[in-house]
Amino acid sequence: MSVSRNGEMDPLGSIDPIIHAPARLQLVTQLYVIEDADATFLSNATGLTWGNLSSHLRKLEEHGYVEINKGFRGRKPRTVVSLTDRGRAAFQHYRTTIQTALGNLPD
Amino acid sequence: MTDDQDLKILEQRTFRAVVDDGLWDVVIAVFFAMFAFAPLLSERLGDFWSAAVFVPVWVATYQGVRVVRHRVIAPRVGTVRFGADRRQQLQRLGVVMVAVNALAAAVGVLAFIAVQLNWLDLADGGVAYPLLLGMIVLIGFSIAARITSIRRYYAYGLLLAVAALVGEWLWREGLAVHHGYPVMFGTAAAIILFTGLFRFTAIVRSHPATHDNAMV
Repeated sequence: MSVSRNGEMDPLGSIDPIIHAPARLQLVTQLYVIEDADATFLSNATGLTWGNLSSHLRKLEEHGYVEINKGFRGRKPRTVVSLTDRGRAAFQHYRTTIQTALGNLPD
Repeated sequence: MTDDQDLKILEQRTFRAVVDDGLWDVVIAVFFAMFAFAPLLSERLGDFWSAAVFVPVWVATYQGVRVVRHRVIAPRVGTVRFGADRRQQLQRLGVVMVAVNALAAAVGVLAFIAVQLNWLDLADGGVAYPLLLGMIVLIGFSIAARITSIRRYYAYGLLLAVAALVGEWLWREGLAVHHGYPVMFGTAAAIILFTGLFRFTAIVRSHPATHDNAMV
C-alpha cells in the first residue's frame, strides 16, 4: 500500500495497472472463474475484437498473468488461455485493494 | 465485479453461455417422446420392444448432438474448461440423474409386473402411478435446474409432471387412449423440442462461425 502526500495510507496507489485496464480486468475476471477458455469464447464474453483481444492477452502474458497455448481443432487454429498462479494472486490482491479503497470512502 | 457473489454469478453465466445451446432440450424431448410413441407401438411390437426400439434412437440423438456441438456450436460460442467445483457439481448431477432414471424405470417395471399379475388395476388405483411418475420427473428436473442454473428446466419438470396427471384424467374421461400418454407427452416433447431448436437457431444466428487466425 502506498502513502499519499498527507501521509495517509493510499490503497488506490497500489492498484495493479496491468489488471486495472477495463478490457484486461474483464479478461482476468472471466478467466478467474474458470480453468481455461479458448479465444473465441473470450472474444464473445468480452466483446473485444481479435486484434484487441490479442494485444491485451499479450500484455497479460508478458507479466506472467496468463498462459497462452496455441493448437489446432481439426485443421483450424485454436488458442487456449488460462490464468497462471501469479495471475490469480494478482487478481486476488486487486480485489482486496479495491474493496479496501471503496470501503474507506465516506458515505 | 470483485465480490464473491458477483464472481459466482459470472461463473454461472459463463456456464449457461457455453452449455445452454438448446441441444440438451432436443435430447430431453427425444427421451420423453418415447412415452408418447411406445404405447402406440406396443400393440404391434409388444410392451418390451416398443420401448427398446427407442434405445438406438436415443444413442443416435446423443451422438448427433455431440457432433453438432463440436462442429456448429464450439466454433461459434467457444469452449471453456470449468473449475473443480463445477466439475464436481456436474458429476453429482450425473449420479442424481442416473438415480432418478433408475427409480422411474423401477416404478415402471414394478407397475408393469403388478398389472400383469393383477395386483394393480390401473383403471382403479392408477392415479398413484402418474402422480409418482410426475413427482420423480419434477424432482429430477428441479435438481438439474438448480445445478445448471437453467431455469426453464423447472418449467419442463412441471410440464411433464402435469402431462402425466392430465393424461390420466383425459383417459379416465374417455377423451384419450393409453392413459393420455401419446397426446400429453407428445405435446410436451414437441414444446421442449421446439424450445430447444429455437434457442439453438438463435445462438447460431447471433454467433457467426469464426476462428482465431487473427490472434498473434
